[in-house]
Amino acid sequence: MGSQPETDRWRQQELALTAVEHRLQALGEYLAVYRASYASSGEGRHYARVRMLRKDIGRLRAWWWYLQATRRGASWLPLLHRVVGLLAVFVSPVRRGGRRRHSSGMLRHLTSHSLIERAYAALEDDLQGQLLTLRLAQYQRPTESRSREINRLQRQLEEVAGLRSSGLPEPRRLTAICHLLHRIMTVRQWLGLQLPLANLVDR
Amino acid sequence: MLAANRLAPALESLPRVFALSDLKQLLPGEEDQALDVALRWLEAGVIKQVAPPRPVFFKVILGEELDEVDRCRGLLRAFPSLVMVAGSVLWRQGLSAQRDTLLECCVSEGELNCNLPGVALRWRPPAWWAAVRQAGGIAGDHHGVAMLTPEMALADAAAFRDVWMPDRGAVDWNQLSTAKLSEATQHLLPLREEGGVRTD
Repeated sequence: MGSQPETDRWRQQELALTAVEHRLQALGEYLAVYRASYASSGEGRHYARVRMLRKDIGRLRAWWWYLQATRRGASWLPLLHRVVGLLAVFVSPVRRGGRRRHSSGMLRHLTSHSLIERAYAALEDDLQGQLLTLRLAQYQRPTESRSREINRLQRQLEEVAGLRSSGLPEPRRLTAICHLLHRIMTVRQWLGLQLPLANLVDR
Repeated sequence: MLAANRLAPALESLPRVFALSDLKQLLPGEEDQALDVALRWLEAGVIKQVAPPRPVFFKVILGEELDEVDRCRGLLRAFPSLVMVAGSVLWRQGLSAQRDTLLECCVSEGELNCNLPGVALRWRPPAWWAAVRQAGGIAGDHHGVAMLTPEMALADAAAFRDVWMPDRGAVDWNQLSTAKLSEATQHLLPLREEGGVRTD
């Protein structure tokens, strides 16, 4: 049995992984429908949108890999942190609002920090949705087991809020981690090596 | 609670279909209040969750049914994988003389509860979306909801047999391509053979 801070950290990592997996699932599904809808249109803006979604998915997968590696204490993490420390200096600071416009004027790119932060915010929304469903049922027909479930969800919500406020690295470091690992994953894919992927819907 | 009441935005300031994140934007810096406000509205029965437990809601207005635009909007916000199928597609594309009583859509999510009136959700395996894309099986959208081509809708109905289809005589077969129907059927065949059908 680990100490309390260790257990807390493990739970936070678990929640962070869940948030990224949920977001990957949602983006993957959206991409699948979007590609199916506009696959034959041949319009540049649709290709640009697909490219942007794939890029977002790539960065989220990279972050998922990093979270996984952190949880199991991968031996290459110290090296990664050293490289990231060097690279982070060259990463441009987060722009106002954490976004920048695509050249087409219609699409908006998210910085890696905003992308991950939104994944955590989406999990928070999902948990709140569950909490509302349970609270409404509890209001209509109270049960002991539901009351316990509500308490468990409330604790999870507090943890996700904590993740959003203090569980993310500094934006430059986060961007460097996502980009570096994303490139490594691309190279691994080229070499035909197995990718460390979240269990996602294949599109 | 008094403080929450003071901060509560008017329900009228929100669109007919809205998400929890929209409500949070009306309460900048007081996001926690959004949950209390939404719960009060749910308890009062003035809003409902589109598809519990998803954080998307619609306003319940007595004597004012949700129109198709709002139903589509609610579904789209709750389900990113949403695709319209079956008789709903044939009617909206002008190939059927019989109108659907339920708007039928497919999703990849396992939770199919939906509080929207006149809507039925069906589950499809993840490989279905890839098969539809490869077959070029989407024909535009209806208020943002992607629609299958009529041929793919027929092939899908035959493969999964869990959706409503109009009577044979009510379908305008002259507008359908046999070649496309055959191609769509071929693409869905592996899913049928894999036993991708699930009954809830």
